[in-house]
Amino acid sequence: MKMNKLNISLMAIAATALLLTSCQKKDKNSPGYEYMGEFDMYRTQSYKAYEDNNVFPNGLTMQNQVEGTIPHSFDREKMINYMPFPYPNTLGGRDSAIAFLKNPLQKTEANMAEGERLYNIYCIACHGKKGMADGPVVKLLDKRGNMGLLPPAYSSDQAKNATEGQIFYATQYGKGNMGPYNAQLSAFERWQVVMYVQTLQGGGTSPDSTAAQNDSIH
Amino acid sequence: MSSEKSSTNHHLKALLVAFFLVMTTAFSWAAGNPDNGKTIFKANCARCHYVTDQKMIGPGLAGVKDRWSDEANLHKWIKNSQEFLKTGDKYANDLFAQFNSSVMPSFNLKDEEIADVLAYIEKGEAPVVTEGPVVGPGGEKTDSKGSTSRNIIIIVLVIAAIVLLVLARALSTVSRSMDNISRKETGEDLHPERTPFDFFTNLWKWLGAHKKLALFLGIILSSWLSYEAFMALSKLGVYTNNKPEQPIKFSHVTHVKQNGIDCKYCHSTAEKSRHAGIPSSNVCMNCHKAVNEGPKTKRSEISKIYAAIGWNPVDLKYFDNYQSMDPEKIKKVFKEWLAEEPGSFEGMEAQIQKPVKWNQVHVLPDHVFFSHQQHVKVGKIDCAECHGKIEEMETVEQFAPLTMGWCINCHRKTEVQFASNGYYERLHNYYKEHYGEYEMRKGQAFTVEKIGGLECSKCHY
Ligand code: HEC
Ligand code: HEC
Ligand code: HEC
Ligand code: HEC
Ligand code: HEC
Ligand code: HEC
Ligand code: HEC
Repeated sequence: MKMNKLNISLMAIAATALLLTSCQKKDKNSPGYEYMGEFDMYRTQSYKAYEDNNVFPNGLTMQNQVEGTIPHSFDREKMINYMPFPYPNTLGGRDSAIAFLKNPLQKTEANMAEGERLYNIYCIACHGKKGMADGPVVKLLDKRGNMGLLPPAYSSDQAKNATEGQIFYATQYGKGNMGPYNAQLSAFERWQVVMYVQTLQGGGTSPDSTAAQNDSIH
Repeated sequence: MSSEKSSTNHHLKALLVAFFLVMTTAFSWAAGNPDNGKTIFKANCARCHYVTDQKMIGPGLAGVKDRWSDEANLHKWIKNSQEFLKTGDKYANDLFAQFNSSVMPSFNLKDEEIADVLAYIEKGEAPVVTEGPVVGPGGEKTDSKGSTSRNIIIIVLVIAAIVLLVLARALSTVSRSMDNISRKETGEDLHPERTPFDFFTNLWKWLGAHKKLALFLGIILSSWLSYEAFMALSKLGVYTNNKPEQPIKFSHVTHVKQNGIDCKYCHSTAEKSRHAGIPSSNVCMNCHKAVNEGPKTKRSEISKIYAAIGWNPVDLKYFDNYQSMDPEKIKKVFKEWLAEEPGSFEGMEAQIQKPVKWNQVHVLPDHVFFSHQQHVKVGKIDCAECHGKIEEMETVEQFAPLTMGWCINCHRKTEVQFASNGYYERLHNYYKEHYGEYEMRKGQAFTVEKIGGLECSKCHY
């Protein structure tokens, strides 16, 4: 009888030891334990950018800018980011953009360099370094026999005469399987990109672009 | 009295010996006998090859030995494939052409090591391999496994200790009652009745008799305990290697490494805001309108994007008024779309008409302010310095500890990028006007510390 008692107490000690040493997170997706959590300033009650929010009908904390409003700014050049885009997403809208939409930015070296940098982030995946439609995504998909994201080379007949309005329009609404880039890039930045794309329409200005053409998958 | 003491003594000795026995066997078992070829393969080849017949960047390697007529050639190929191609071997050149002339890098491996690798390939891997992420190019992560096997060891040790204690206890009781019988005969004093605490009283007595040893043991035990406690407490709230599962098996290996997509294509606010941002489903659709199945997960995972955003993969257009549509109609479309992949529909059903809820990986406490814009745009720091090799991770994992010491150390040693940095133009000109040439810069590293990067209020406010 007494021995049982001892055993029980030993068992209890062992069990606690087991609990302490082999303690694992129950929920695989929670990062783990912290000291005070909500009782400290660790986790405050303020809404975080990506949190659910029951204040707004769409349940998100990050809300779009209220339509028709413009952020306060002294940078006049960047005001185009907040101006409404006057050409609708229709065939007629596209035609008039091709004819009348003009680049409001100066062709400065800084704008051009920034355009190139942005192009190398956002467009290169499909259009390729020199606009020869040989980006890594296109190359990989070609191995799978999927031509869905194959764009025309900028220097091809199909695209070499595209006006700056047409290029900007493509980044605003997308075209075919190309998606719109108006969420990732502001209008100001897209005009910088357009400026750089226009230099690629000339095609083989540099010697290695002919090599790129041979590599590309036509 | 003396026999009493010696019995406890035996007791303890037996326990100690047994304990060490268990310890040593447990640890030799944990270290195991690692399969050499597998290690080499994982380090060098796994990012391009599966050991099954599934293709990745290179061909699946199941049965290569049979495909190559001469094993010596195979060794040459693995050491330096480009060199071997020059011999004009037809099989190799055809293979090279078949893989769009992608170059397999050369490896500085010994012949025995290559033999190990080939042996590993021949043995193959359990069928789980085709599951994708498990042996994806990023390789299997050993962390979780390591910690479970450690836990198993601990559990085994504890159980062994309990069993030993109980045994020792039972034995000593038996020997006492035997002893009592003989004592009764000789008329000696009997052993006193046992109490639940006599083990401890005996221990206490024994320690009292060996004061120096007891002191020594006590110091070791208490310093070990406080070290362990300190380490355990200092790890609270530090989540290095935090690796939650994600609702969509999105892989940075596929997208960054294989598709060459820039980090900022998806994390496009990294230069503009404190958050690098998680891409919305619209961004995924830039490509996934046209890419409706992947090599590993087929349609099952990509269709979750469609379900979240309301794309009809059959008609190739967005559903009208998706959020207010009858869910049954949507389910019918997706059931049909996933008909050839049993189980897929059940896996994605919950995503219908719901936004994708990614699980957060990095979580700083709310009392700290951290901005990506300041570090990426102004400081010109590469993502990899703080996030590690994301492009090798099938599932994103926290790389840096994100402790205050980590931030501060970097601020102490990283220089501010003044050169052609628009952010500092105004400041630069101001200093020039007021103080002439910028004296502070000359001859010494101008670290973040110098612009106040260690001030509490820069990060806590
Ligand atoms: C995901 C792949 C992809 C990315 C990234 C991409 N494009 Fe495209 N782009 C395409 C495809 C596909 C087409 C062909 C669309 C068609 O004609 O159906 C195209 C066509 C175009 C055209 C020709 C439009 C016309 O009117 O004929 C322009 C201009 C263009 N893209 C510019 C850009 C710019 C600028 C970027 C970067 C901001 C970019 N693209 C990023 C895939 C892409
Ligand atoms: C960067 C990717 C890459 C890595 C890393 C790589 N390989 Fe390869 N491997 C290839 C490619 C691609 C081919 C197909 C031939 C070609 O294009 O050169 C290939 C072909 C082979 C072949 C011939 C397969 C056949 O079907 O006959 C063998 C064998 C091979 N690799 C073994 C290895 C071993 C062993 C390692 C690690 C030590 C390794 N590879 C690492 C890309 C890689
Ligand atoms: C195709 C889009 C895409 C690209 C390209 C991309 N990511 Fe991601 N990234 C995501 C998505 C979606 C998530 C959220 C799901 C997850 O955690 O896996 C994410 C998550 C992350 C996280 C974890 C966020 C958290 O919850 O704390 C980090 C860090 C990260 N990415 C860094 C990078 C880096 C560095 C690169 C470039 C090497 C990169 N990403 C490229 C889409 C992308
Ligand atoms: C100086 C270190 C540092 C650099 C450089 C850095 N990050 Fe981060 N990143 C962090 C920290 C710290 C967090 C956690 C932020 C939090 O919890 O508020 C984080 C969080 C994230 C997240 C989660 C979502 C968010 O925005 O909070 C993503 C995605 C991410 N980083 C991507 C990137 C990418 C892409 C780059 C490169 C362009 C990058 N990071 C560069 C330190 C860094
Ligand atoms: C710039 C183009 C691009 C973007 C943006 C993109 N993907 Fe992909 N994704 C691809 C390509 C290409 C493949 C197919 C890779 C292949 O066939 O090897 C793919 C494959 C996948 C797969 C299947 C992987 C497998 O191995 O089965 C998933 C899941 C996926 N993407 C999720 C996403 C999510 C979620 C997003 C948005 C955060 C996203 N992708 C954004 C190009 C993209
Ligand atoms: C890889 C190095 C590195 C790490 C890690 C790092 N920082 Fe920084 N941080 C910098 C650099 C470089 C700058 C200076 C940028 C500049 O030129 O203003 C900076 C600047 C800052 C600033 C602005 C300082 C000022 O004077 O305006 C804050 C705030 C900051 N960091 C917070 C953090 C926090 C919080 C963490 C940890 C979660 C962290 N940093 C981790 C390198 C780092
Ligand atoms: C470069 C940014 C940075 C600076 C400067 C900084 N801290 Fe911190 N501090 C952090 C980060 C990040 C954490 C969160 C660490 C964690 O969660 O493990 C933290 C955590 C703390 C904590 C712990 C809070 C808790 O609940 O655990 C205290 C206290 C603290 N800081 C005080 C200070 C003081 C005092 C100073 C000025 C001498 C200072 N910090 C300067 C980044 C900073």
